[in-house]
Amino acid sequence: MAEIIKNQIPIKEGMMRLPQSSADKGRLIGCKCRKCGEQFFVKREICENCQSQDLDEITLSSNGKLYAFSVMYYPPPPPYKPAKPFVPFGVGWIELPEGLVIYSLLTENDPSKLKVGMEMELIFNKFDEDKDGHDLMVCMFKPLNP
Amino acid sequence: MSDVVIAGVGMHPFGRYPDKDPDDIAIEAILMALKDANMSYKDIQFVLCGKVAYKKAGTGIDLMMKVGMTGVPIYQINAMCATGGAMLKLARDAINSGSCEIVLVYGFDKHKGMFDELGEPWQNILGIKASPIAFATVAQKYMNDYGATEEDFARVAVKAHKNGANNPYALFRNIITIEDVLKSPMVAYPLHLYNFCTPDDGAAAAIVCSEKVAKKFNIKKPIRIAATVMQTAQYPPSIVEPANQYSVDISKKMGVPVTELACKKAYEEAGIGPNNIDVCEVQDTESAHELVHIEQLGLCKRGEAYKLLRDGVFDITGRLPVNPSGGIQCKGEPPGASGLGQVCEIVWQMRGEAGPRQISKDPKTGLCQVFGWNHVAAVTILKK
Repeated sequence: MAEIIKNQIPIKEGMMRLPQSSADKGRLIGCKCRKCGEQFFVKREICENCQSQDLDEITLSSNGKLYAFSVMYYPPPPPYKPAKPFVPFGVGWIELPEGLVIYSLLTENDPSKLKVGMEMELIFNKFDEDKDGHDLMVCMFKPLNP
Repeated sequence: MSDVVIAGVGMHPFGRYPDKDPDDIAIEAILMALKDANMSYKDIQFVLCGKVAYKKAGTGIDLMMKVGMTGVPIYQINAMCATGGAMLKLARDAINSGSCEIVLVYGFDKHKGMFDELGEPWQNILGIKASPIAFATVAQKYMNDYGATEEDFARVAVKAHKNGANNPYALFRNIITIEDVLKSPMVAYPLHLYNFCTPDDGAAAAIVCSEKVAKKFNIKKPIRIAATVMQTAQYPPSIVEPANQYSVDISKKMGVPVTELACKKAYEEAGIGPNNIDVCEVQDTESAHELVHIEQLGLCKRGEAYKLLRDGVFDITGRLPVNPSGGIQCKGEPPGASGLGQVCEIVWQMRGEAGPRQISKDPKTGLCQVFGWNHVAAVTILKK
């Protein structure tokens, strides 16, 4: 188990803390402006609100409510590499308790099983492998009570 | 109020021209606009070129070299799908500044497919910011909040095709039914293939000048630019707006869509309100956004547009015709040209020259609205 975990890297550096053990669920990492208090996901260098460069790293809540969603039925353009055959995928905006709404892949790709306001929880999944054989990990949200 | 007018317009039909040089497509639109304004290229003092998807380098200037070498400044502008409206504002401001009197504004494009690499590199690997899905999440939210259905979105496409069938500048000129739309493949829930505009080729042009100059050139029906506004996001950004945004903090305040920000300024500049608009062309990247944009423009209450559509209010015979051209759902979208394509349509409607798709009432005012990727919109109000 430990070896597999060691082989995982996030799709974007600094975006997530991947689970380190089977008991650890991992977290998403964002930032909060020290001057104006605005929060962002993913981490950024400049506050979009007040242009301060003084931002603190924060860990985000792993549970939230579905704010809006869609399911994509056609493969996006490169560099996206579709599976053959292409499998439709869900995306959505998730409203976290801290008032941050974040955009994410969903585990569910059947729109009839998704509903605005439903409880969602964070998981991490392998998306692809990089050229060195690392597992590229992404965050996804999955319905808590499907 | 500004005394800047549109003296002439020109357009090359939007469509697919694999064997035609895009420069030639643009030149046809430019020459048509010059002729419409009783002018020659030697009269032009400033040129703005819009181009977004077409990859050939340097074409803003290169292209004009084929029309003539008069030494005038030529700039190329890219504000994504809002390019046409953004250029019109620059043209109006240039004239108002006194630096020139006559401006040629043209846009052209060759657009083959979904935009590559709209988002950050990692977002593009995930495909998560592909434009159809970003627009579709807004459509889903609209359905959820207001009770609209896939059938309502289909009705927008049906209305577009009814108008587009009478537009020689449109790519799709076929009548479709609600059933046709709902049976077309789902692209991004809740939107079907026939709900979407399609990328294509085309060009549009306008000659902008002062009212005084228009008189000198004996322009019979100058159309006044009563307002023109270009708007980008004002923090916090709106969630219900397709963009690169990966998070929006709503703990203190909800963001306002750029179209709403833009139209407030435009109505103020024009000295009229949304109730005074007689005809409009709005960004219909897909059917749902036609409704969303009508509401953001204040032309009706939130959640009301799909009901008014059912009642025929937005038909060419209705109280407020929307997209009498068939919109980009029928014309297709060459993003460099699409904004000026709207301007051509409204100018023709206001002059009473739109032929079989001429709206029933005599429009005294018209509005054009474009919206583009990453929170950019432009709103233009025209008056007779």
